[in-house]
Amino acid sequence: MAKRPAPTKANLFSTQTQLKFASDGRDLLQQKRDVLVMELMSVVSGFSEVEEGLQGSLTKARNSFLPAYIAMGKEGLQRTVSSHQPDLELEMEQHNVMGIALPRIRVSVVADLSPAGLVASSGALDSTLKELQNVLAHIGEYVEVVSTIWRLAIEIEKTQKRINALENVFIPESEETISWIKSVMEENDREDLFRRKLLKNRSAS
Amino acid sequence: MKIRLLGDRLSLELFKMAGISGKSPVEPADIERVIEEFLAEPDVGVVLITNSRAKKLGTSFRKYMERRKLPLVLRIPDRHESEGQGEELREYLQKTLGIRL
Repeated sequence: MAKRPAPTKANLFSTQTQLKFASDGRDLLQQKRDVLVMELMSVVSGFSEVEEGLQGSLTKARNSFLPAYIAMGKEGLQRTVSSHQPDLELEMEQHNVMGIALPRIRVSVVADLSPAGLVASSGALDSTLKELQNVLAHIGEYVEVVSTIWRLAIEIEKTQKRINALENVFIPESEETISWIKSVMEENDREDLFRRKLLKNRSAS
Repeated sequence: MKIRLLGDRLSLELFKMAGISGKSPVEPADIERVIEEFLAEPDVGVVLITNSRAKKLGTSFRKYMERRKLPLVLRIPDRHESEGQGEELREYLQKTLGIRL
């Protein structure tokens, strides 16, 4: 239901400005949505590939890790691996697209993961470490792509909701209010004119 | 910055060799507590959760995904669930934007 303020010229003007403001806002939001959708589309196309990359390398690493784990046991593994603790360097920065912070991630391993030592190392463990390096390479990309898509999608949904609210509720209501004020004002004008004519006729006769 | 992992023991042992440490809580309440713990740590950039653990939280995991600050929280595939974040992401895109991945 549209608002029915007092049908005055001041209210007409203020409603007209509001309407102008709202439709400008809607245009801006539509532009924002379009930019975001374009951004999303450019990321989305690569998603399946990134996902498969991570899944594949992770499965391989797990598969070769299990026999190594069983053969060496928790303690044996710790003894072999603890001699080198790799430093994982995660570089994160955020860049802005239309006011949304999107992460950029680079994972680099400072120390080399591979062969822990000659003692008690096994083939399974070696291939696990090799695969693990792959996993690390994929994981940064995966995190980046997933959170980028996620954030963009949420923001697009929000923007779309705002556009809808403006387009389907606020703007039509303002238009209705404006046309109502206009028609009441015209009606008043006509009444006024009629009254004056009546007075004029009376004073003439 | 660092990565933290929340998952089953085997994944934990595996990722430990790559310099990613973590914890392995089982009960949903514990899982949430550990996530909060990781989030509060300084210098943590990413919190990974294996899918089976994340599923235990059900819908309340969503609030971590929707955070706008660092650290990022997301799921990765594990031994039983080969889907990572993809499943949820696809569903969401399909539902809200009509995009099929």
